[in-house]
Amino acid sequence: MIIKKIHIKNHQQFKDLELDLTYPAGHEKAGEPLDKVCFIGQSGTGKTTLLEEIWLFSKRHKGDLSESRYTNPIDSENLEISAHENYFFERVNSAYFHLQNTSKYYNEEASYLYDNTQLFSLSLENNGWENIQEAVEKHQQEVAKYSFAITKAFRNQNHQLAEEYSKKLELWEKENETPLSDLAENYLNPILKDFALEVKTELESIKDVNQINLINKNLEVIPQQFWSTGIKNIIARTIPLYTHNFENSIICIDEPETSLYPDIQRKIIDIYSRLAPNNQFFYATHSPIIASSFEPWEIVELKFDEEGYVYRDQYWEGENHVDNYKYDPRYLRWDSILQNIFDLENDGSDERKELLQKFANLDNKLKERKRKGDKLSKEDPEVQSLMKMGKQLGWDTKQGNA
Amino acid sequence: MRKIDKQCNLSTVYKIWESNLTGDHPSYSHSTTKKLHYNSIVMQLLSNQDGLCAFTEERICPNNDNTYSDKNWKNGIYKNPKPDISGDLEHFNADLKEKKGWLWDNFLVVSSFINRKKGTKEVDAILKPDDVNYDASKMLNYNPTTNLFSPHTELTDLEKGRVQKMIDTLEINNGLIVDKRERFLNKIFLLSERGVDLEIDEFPTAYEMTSILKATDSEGSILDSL
Repeated sequence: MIIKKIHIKNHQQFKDLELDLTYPAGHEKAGEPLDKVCFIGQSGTGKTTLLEEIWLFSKRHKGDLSESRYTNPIDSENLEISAHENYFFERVNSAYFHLQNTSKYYNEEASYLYDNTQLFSLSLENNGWENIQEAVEKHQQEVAKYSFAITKAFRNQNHQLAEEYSKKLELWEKENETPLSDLAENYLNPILKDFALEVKTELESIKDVNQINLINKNLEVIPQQFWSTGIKNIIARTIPLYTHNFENSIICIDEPETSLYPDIQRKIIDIYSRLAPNNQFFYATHSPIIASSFEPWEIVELKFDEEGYVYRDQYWEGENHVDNYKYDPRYLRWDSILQNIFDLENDGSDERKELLQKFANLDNKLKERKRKGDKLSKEDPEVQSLMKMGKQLGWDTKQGNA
Repeated sequence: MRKIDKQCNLSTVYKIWESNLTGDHPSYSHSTTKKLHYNSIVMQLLSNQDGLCAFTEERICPNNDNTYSDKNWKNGIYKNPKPDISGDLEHFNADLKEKKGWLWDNFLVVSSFINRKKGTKEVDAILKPDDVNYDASKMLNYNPTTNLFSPHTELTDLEKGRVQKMIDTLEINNGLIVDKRERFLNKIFLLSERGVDLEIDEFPTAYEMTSILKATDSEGSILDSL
């Protein structure tokens, strides 16, 4: 991977902020740049600024940017980004996925900074779909050759030859999956099934190749204007990641959770990593579910100190070693991630906190009554009140198993 | 929140100086005074508190045998650099900070997070851990089902109201603390059931109260027994 350290000397809310982006001691990749990084933190801590800087850094090193076209959020004197010493920047590509930004980098070559209004045309014209289209057309041409040979053999009453060609076609199709089928079965359909949709891979007409089509359980094509925002986002990111064959590249994705239901958020980071392996991903998120896809050393939590400057919240105690990390979001409950990583104080609303306290107080009182010899029954008004509270808290009567 | 025996047997230079103060104290933010006494007060209190937050019993100072030992003290002053702790010196009654800012009776060491949360809220000595009359077992119940402390069931309604207010003020049931407490006790009791006894180096009051309830098979909610 590529970037291993970022140092911002003095810029607005940043003052001597140093981010080590390498694997800690005790990790099999200790000292190497992280495969993926997840920036989290309160709004205004600079997550998006960092993503933009990382993207511009790679573009500039490759000579893709002229100073006049792009303005860095942070001036160069105050920013130092260190890369892996073996890195050759002429080989580094970069992509930036941001679905809610302005179009300031719109249509810039080799970058994918989309805004919502342009998303759709971009997803069809500028996202690499033509690569799939080309491969599918070649595939169809090959199938047509076999079909022609089969038809010819039948016309000549040579059923044995027709049978041979049919078997050859079957074998060839098994060995030569179309990129569309690969994209559908291995990446998109596992997500789309949650929307009761799948990619149409049966190609019946030219329309099926001109664009990606989604079908419902009744095999009806869902027109693109009826796709949900979440589906549009997934398609807009997935196709370029799949078709551009990124290798040794820096890929920045801001708010990967946008418009996605929690169960899909849980899958999406893994899918992006599988779509474009051997690249360094940088994410910025506000989602605990997205955060649960990361190893603890891959998370960079930015916080404001008492003077309003941003610092990195340290997750390890003592030496930066894999064994010394306080939390690992991959193994925590969602509410624990919210509390320990995202700093929410309680495991629910203020109303829940208040009710929990009332429950505890009444539960203790009833235990005391029982200890003193009271025979408690479900008809007892206080027991009923406790049961009602337990129900409101989402517990069974055996609430300890909640 | 257990009782703290607040002796001042190590930080003697500060204690003698404090005992001789009359009238208004020097400003608490006075740099020379702070430089001279701050570390000694903090380390003396941490020694009394076994390195735990005075309110929540969360560990705020590493549990190292040498941290509080006599070796670190010379002629009544803590001579070594203060260990890396996640706590602050707390003025229990913030109203006394201005004119009696160096009062020994008003000092405790608490987690920095709790210190910020508590701020300058009004306090009631009914729940002051170093008060001579304070007894956790008479003031608090622990409910293992919710992992929350409650006012003791034997208190009067008026007292319960006062104790509840202080539980809230001192952040004893702060959600982050409750989460840590729950995870710590789960670990301790799970391992204990498998024959592995760990040192109770955090949350001793919740541990002791839960152990008592377990001994009488009443740690679960009353709803479980119906």
